[in-house]
Amino acid sequence: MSDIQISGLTKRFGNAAVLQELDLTVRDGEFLTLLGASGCGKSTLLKLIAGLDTPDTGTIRMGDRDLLALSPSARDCAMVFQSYALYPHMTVRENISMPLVMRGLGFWGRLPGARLVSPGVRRRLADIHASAHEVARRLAIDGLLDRKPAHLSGGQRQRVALARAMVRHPSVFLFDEPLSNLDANLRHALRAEIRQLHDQLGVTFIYVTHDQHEAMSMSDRVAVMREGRILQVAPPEDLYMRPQSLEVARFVGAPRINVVPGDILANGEIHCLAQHIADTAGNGGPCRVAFRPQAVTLAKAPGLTVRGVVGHVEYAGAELMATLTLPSQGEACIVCLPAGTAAHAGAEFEVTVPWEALHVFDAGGQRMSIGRCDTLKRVA
Amino acid sequence: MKPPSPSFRILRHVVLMAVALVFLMPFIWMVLTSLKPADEIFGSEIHLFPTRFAAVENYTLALTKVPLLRYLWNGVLVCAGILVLQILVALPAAYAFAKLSFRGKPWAWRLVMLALMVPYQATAIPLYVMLYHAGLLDSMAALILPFSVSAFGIFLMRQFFRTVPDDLIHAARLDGMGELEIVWRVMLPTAMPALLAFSIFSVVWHWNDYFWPLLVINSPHLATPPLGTMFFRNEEAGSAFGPLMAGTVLITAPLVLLFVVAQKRFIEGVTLTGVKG
Repeated sequence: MSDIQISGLTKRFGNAAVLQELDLTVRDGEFLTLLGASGCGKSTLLKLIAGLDTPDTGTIRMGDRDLLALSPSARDCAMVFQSYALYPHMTVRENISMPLVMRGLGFWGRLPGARLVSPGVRRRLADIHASAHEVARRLAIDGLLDRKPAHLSGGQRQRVALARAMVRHPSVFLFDEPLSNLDANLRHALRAEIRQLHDQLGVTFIYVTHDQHEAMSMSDRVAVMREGRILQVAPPEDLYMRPQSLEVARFVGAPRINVVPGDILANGEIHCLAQHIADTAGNGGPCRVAFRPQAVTLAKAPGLTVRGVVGHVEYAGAELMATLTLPSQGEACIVCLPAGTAAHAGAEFEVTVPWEALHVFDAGGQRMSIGRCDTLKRVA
Repeated sequence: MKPPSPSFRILRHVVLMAVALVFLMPFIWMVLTSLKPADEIFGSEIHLFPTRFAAVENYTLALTKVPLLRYLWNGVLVCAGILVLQILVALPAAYAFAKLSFRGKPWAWRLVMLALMVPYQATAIPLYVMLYHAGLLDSMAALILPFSVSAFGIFLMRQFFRTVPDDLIHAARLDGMGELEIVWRVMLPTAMPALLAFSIFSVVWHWNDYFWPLLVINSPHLATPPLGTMFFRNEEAGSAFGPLMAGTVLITAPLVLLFVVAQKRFIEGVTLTGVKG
């Protein structure tokens, strides 16, 4: 067991590059999530790691082993699919046993009826079924062993798929959107279960999803992908608090991060909404200032003051989501206010974004480091 | 929608039954003739039902004058041999066409489609010549081998395999199965309905086939049921229609039984090919 090193990986389908010169290191034993919208190449990357497809260029290594030279079953990776991919004509027991049957029994032993002839095959099959039972008990599906997949609910099927992956004790688990076909409650419960499983097994999990809540709540690190590239790999908190690019900032967090235009003066002062909000070492030019809806306060603080006309107000229990239209820009921001705040549609309203909660991106969309400017100075 | 009135429903059934009777009449006539003595068959008056039953004589004659059971057994052997070979060839081929990518696949597929469109009478002469040179004429092999590759089977199974999710095949590869094992352990069981439909078509077709056995078989002991009735008519019966019809009933019976047993599958098969083919 060791890190998985992916470098220079490119995959094309026809002329379209699905993955472009992709580099990624997955650390031994970590829970890494590949997050991205559909079509960003995350599932393709997973398939390349599993060996279900071959890249055009690039390498995938695991320690000193070249994974690309190995067949899918020799890579020591187990995969759980969105569609479960259970064998429909086999019982749950046979489904879970299949990886061990393929490894433990030879060609003749796998022929139908072999167990009737050979006591050796019978003995090995009994061992295999015992392991299958053991794994099933861990996932609380040992009562379903004699059923066929058609007679199981979605959650049960996904557990069977999980059991089939676990039974061979792989050193890497690959998940391809495993919870997307389940209803919200079940998804939530299974999320916690999969994370628990990772902590118990202590092996590498690579998890593909388009759902940022899944990614943020389960992972040690998240790799945000877009158009065949990895935009940023970081722990969930870093991703949320310090997005490296505007793209990542926009992708992570709900509701979406607010973005307003700003300017960098020649002396490094950053101006936004006619306020001097921070300083930077960078050169002059346009920039973008972003802040999360949840980051605003009603108290006065050093930072950016946002004043606008309240539009639509959405009541969400503990909080209000209000749309604020800025008169100067004509742009709408979404701000999250404590429940009971007197924000009425049509009225003027003012909130402050504390300095620490501001993200500034340069013209190319890359994050800029900014310095605090203490004076809450208005620029005429 | 308003449910149709009772009179309309009765009318509907009367029409349907009348049409059904038109189609059934030859069979009914066949069964009834097989029960009649010769003088009644050729009598000037036409009775639907025999006034004197001659079933025992007719059926005894049919079973003893020619080796009818032998013909039936030949029919079973030929149909089973053809079906097994067709499945052995068609399933892996269909899997390759449906799920694998290889060089020349579009052209290979076009060849399959072409084979599907050529009537088999057109290839009869070349096949006959090939069998002659191979020294296989007038043998079981001559009846079975030419049909071992079924373009229709490949086509039908390929259409069905395309609906099997890729993830299932991916899972099988990760579990350690090779491509051929995927065909037999994963694709075959999931494609059972399509395979049964194809089997029924194949068996019915080759059981009833008269053209090809007539061409390649001379020895009476190798005759298939339809060819057997032919020998029967020429050599034994001449114009003894009673025993001839008795023989025909015995030959048709296995297919009718097969249909009754697999009626649901048969109709599934027709709709499957109708919609997808």
